[in-house]
Amino acid sequence: MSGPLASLAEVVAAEWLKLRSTRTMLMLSIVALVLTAAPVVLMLSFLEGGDFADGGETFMVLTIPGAVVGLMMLVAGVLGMAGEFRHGTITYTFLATPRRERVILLKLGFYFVAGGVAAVVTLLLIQLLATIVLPIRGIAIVYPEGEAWAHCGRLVLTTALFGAFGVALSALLRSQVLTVTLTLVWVVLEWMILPMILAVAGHPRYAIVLPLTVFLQATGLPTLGGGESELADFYMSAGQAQLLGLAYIAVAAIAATMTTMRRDVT
Amino acid sequence: MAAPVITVEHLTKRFGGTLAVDDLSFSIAPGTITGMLGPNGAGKTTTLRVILDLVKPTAGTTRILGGRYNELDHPARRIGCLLDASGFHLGRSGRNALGVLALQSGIPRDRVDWALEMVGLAKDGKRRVKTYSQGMRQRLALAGALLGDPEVLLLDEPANGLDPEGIAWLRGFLRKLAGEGRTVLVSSHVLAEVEQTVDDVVILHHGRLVADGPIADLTKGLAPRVFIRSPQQRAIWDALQARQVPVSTLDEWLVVQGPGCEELGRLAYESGAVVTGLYEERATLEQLFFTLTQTELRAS
Repeated sequence: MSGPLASLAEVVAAEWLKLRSTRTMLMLSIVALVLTAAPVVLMLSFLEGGDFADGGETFMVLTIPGAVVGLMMLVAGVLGMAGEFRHGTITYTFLATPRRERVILLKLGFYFVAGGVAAVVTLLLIQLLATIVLPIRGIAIVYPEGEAWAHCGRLVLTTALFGAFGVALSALLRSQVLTVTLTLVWVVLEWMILPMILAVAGHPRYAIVLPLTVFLQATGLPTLGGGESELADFYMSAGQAQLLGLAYIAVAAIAATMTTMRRDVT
Repeated sequence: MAAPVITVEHLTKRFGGTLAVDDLSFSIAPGTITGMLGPNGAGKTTTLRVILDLVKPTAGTTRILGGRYNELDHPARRIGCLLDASGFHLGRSGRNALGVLALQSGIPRDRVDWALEMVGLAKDGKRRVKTYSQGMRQRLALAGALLGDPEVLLLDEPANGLDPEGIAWLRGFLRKLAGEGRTVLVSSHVLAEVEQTVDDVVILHHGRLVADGPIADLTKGLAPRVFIRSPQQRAIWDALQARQVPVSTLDEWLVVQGPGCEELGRLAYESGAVVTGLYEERATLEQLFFTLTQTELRAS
């Protein structure tokens, strides 16, 4: 392998080494594992054979805790980009790749793929837990089938989008603390305050285009089992939500690229 | 004459209302060690960062190896940089920190062990950077600069944090690099520290160039200082004043600029003074720096 492909392979290997050579990412992985596996084991423990229409639907319900991996990937993306500014390693990254837009693009791509891989690993873990726990309880093992495959695909894509969104946000804000703080503040705003204000103003449906709600709709989880939220009537399709999520990432990434190219690295 | 490796032309950089570099021009010849010297805030680091395209100039241009840094193919393989010893993730091992640098610069990873060996950190490569002393981090940064076996090295204050043994090692190391035909630009605010190492100097003050060229040429015009000690100091002082020779005192010594040891010894003898100490100090970079900056101050 030579030329641009070799260069790409080297920088991807560099990103992978960055990811696995610090304890932070290991801790994030452990947290994601525990937050996914524990609820799934509990669900499997209380599941009854006839709870759902078929094995595919059962499997889809079991993936609900896996959505937490998306949030973990958001944090991983933030740490992956803003961490470079925090630790001063961005200087050497820009020296190695002076075309700064390439650094941002590469990180976006890397954390998109990493998010996808993390989601696949999560789904495999859920399948593994089902394969171990259900026979012990004398219930037939469930596998993804029918609509469940499409659901798994949505989950993988959305987790990937979360990773890229974390990179785009932190490339724009640069400060790790600021990015994490603003994200937390935004979570409170979007899930507690803004819907209330929009409802009072008589426009509750506008809440469905807010970024985190968009990413949640992209998973298809809110409409699983009919959807019980007040917003359920307004939800867009998972495909539409994925496109809008991509648009959010693109806007943040373009703004980040423009400011990063102009900023001095001192 | 070979084309310069680095060229800076009419470079100006402002950070808000602060003028960091002011119409600076100089060039660096290939195969030389050049010291970029000046006190803190003189504009050395800013100039280096503009050359490396990390900081955008307000005006002027810089070129390195014939082009702008960001126009070069795989610049990190051809140009090694030490900018900041804290530019490593503290949670990574020294070896992994260099591994990241190597991979993202397209440098074979087997160079990592070579570079660690070169700077004397081979045994400490598996330790996390946060357990390193300041001097070890400086060596690690130097190893990072050497990874690509570069033809040009830009080192910003490489002696920071090094103990006297480390500084002596650094001097020998820089000499070795220059002996291999590499071009080295090294910045420092400690003039005496680099005096024994560099061939040429670029001296900055308040962002402006005050002198550049070979040290020998720049200090040639400066008269050496002669130190003389005597119980009859007053008699020598009066004799020097009568001849309008510049003289000052430093502890129990008279510091004389102009006449050499022989002439001063004769003058002391003629004045009836017993000389208990007499030596000549050759012109130093520090002396040159103060002479030049005082001239600049007077001119302004």
